[in-house]
Amino acid sequence: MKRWWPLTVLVFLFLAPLVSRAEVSSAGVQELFLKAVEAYKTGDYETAVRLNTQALSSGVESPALHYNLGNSYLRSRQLGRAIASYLRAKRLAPGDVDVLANLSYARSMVSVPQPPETVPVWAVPLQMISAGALRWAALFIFMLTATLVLAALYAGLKRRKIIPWAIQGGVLCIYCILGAGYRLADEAALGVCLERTEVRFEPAPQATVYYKLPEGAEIRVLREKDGWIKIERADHKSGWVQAQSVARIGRN
Amino acid sequence: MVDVVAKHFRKEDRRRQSDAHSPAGQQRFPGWRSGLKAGWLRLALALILLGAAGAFLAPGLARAEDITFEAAVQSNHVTVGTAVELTLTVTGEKDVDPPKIENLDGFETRYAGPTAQVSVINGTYSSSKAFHYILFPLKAGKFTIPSFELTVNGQVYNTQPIVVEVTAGAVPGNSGGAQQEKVEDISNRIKLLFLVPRYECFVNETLPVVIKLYYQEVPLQDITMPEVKNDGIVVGDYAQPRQYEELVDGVKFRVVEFQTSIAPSRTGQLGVGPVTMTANMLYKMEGAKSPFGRSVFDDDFFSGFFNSYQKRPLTITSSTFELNVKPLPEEGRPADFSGAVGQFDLQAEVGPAEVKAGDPVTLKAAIFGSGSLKNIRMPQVPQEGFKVYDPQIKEEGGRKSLEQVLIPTGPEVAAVPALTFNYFDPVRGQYATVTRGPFPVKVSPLAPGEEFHAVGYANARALPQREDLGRDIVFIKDRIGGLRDVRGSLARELPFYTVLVLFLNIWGIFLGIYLYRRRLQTDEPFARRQRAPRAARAAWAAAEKSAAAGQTRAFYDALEQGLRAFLADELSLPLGDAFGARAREELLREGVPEDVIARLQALESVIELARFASAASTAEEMSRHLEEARAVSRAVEEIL
Repeated sequence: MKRWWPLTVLVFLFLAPLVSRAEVSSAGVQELFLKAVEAYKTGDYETAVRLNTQALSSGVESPALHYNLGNSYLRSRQLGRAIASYLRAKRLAPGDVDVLANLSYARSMVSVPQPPETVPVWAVPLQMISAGALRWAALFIFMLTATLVLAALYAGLKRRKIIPWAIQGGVLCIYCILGAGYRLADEAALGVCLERTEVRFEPAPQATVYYKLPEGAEIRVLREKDGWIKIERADHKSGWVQAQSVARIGRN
Repeated sequence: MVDVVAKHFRKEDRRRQSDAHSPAGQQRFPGWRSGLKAGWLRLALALILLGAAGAFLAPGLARAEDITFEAAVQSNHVTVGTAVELTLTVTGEKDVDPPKIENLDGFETRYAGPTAQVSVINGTYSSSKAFHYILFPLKAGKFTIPSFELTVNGQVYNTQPIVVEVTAGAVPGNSGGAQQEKVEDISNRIKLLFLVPRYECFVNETLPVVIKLYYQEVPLQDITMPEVKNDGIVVGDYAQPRQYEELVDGVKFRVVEFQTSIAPSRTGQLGVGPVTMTANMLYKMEGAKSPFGRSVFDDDFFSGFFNSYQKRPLTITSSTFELNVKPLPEEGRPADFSGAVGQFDLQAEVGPAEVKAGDPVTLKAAIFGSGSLKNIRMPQVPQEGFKVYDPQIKEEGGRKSLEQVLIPTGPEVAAVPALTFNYFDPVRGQYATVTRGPFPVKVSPLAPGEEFHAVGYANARALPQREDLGRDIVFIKDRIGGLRDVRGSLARELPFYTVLVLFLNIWGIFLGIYLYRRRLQTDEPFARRQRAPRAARAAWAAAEKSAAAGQTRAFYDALEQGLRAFLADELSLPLGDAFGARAREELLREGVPEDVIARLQALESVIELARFASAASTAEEMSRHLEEARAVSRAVEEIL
């Protein structure tokens, strides 16, 4: 026990500068964000797109940044990029009603109706929580459970009374961890067609066209190969498209 | 038992000896009963085989010897219009195909099917197969049905020629065989005419045509509707056919008349026709007999009820003609000409003539005339000033009509605009325009309180109006919110893992404390071992005090108590056993070096000597002994 303390102190000393660095970088992003808001309000959507994209390229993100960028794209008639931005905003803030409303509106503009999202039954209660929040929730539940267990031990409670609490807390914690994992995996595979895209049987330009996807169509990315990505649409028909024609939601 | 077996073998030996003395070639059966049974069985079997062979071989023998091939007609005298049956019979052979009869002079033939017959008369088996043909006499005269040939097993059999005399009867014969007779008969007895008013017209012009089927004293049934070869023409609907009689060159014909129209769909010389129709012609079978022989049913009165007539399908074809189809002239073609060709008129009316704003008026228009109505486009109703509903257009009775509801949008509407219809008149060879209207309408504004209300719903709430809701995206956000680092996983995940590590440290500390305390409570040796250094340190402190006070006895008492308590706790021994052999054994077992044990033993001796011999000790000696006690206890503590 005596040996833990030096290690913990070292870890803190090492990590503290990283925290301060993240805090410092937000000032410039805030300025870009506000300028983009002003540009949007004046109808200069191209500038709004540029400023929001610049803010996001500085290494930070927020639901509002993605949301405003989505609005700017939509006003600039770039439906695919707008939907991608809304989905990224939704990834960070799944319960944001503005994001959901605008995403729904943008989806309604896709020329081919998109099938509704399919979510496993067990993950439905977690739909309004982001992966990050789920992870924090799992940590909080873990800490709470562990603290309660410890308190019970100190209080001299019988083990048979403590174990049910621990099991419940553990199950809840694992549920949150699984939910976070599912959300992360789901977001990592999600993609949006940035333009009307021809899906081919093989990753080659001369390959036979299997079907076509409209701009804004949401697809699943299965794998990547030499500038092509294998995608799958909702009816499980898969094919290859060129990587630049699809925006990955798990990446900015 | 042995006697029984020996007796059996002796009996067998005797029987073998008896067999050996029987006449040569004779085989004796084991006993007379079994021998009798076997004889009958063999006889029955031989008879059965013989019968079966006879049954199978006899027909073959008969066939080989008695094959005949004969031809026969029901009658050698027939009249034109009467059919006669020809039968070719093969006797003694069933496995033969029907002979093909083609181009029989003076007759048209039709194969009617085979019949087979097997008979056993006075033990004589015979079989025969007959092939039946219907002969339709084509003309009067004396004709010879030639000999027919049949080959069975390489043997050729021939029928005898048959002479049939055909006389002209009351019912004329029909054609269908040789082409020459067919033309002659059709021109004489059955004619199909395809009549058009002229052989020149404009494209899309509708020409009325008449198709007439003439037949005289020919029993026709099942006459079908005519079919016009419609390559390049559009054939109209057929009117109900008429049947009547007509005198042609003094001969009375029955006539079936069909009226329709044709409209050429392309220009140039167009071959029109032929028209074809099918019908069944009835032939009376000459000499038809009842299967039961001559009976009352052979009378003419009954013959009609017992199928003594044969139906012969007949295809009747008209001649064709050339139609010169001219294109419509470009000169004078109206801009909104829709392709109507003919002579048309337009009727139109609007009612009521006086309405209140919001009330409908109905426009009724109809086009009728001599041309085809199928492709005519009805006049368009101008929509300015009216709310226009989809029109109802129907075509019936040579009229194409339109009915459309119009609602004037306000009192400023004074009339329903005029309707215009353009067509090409093939008689005059020029385009024509028919205009009807405008139709004045007086629209009066609604008086206050005359707004629409549903009868019976005076007190009901106003019906909800359909509202088109605007839809747009939600406006942008003014606050950036919490930023999240996306540069690297370490920086992004730092807060999470910091909290986790901190918590785990703190939690681990408290858990360790708990576990330590719990062990102290539950593990006595452990607790004593944990207590031993503290107890020793307390004793050393007391000894030090005694030494400082110059109390030798008290010093060594404290030293003894401290060392004894220390060893007792470390080794989990009773206090009494802490000094002595047992303690040394335990120390050795725990791995304490012997020199430490020796030092401990020496210290014990010093303490014992000082306590019990009351030997005086200097302060220096007490200090040295105290340090030795401390050193020894530390050495033991480190090892344990």
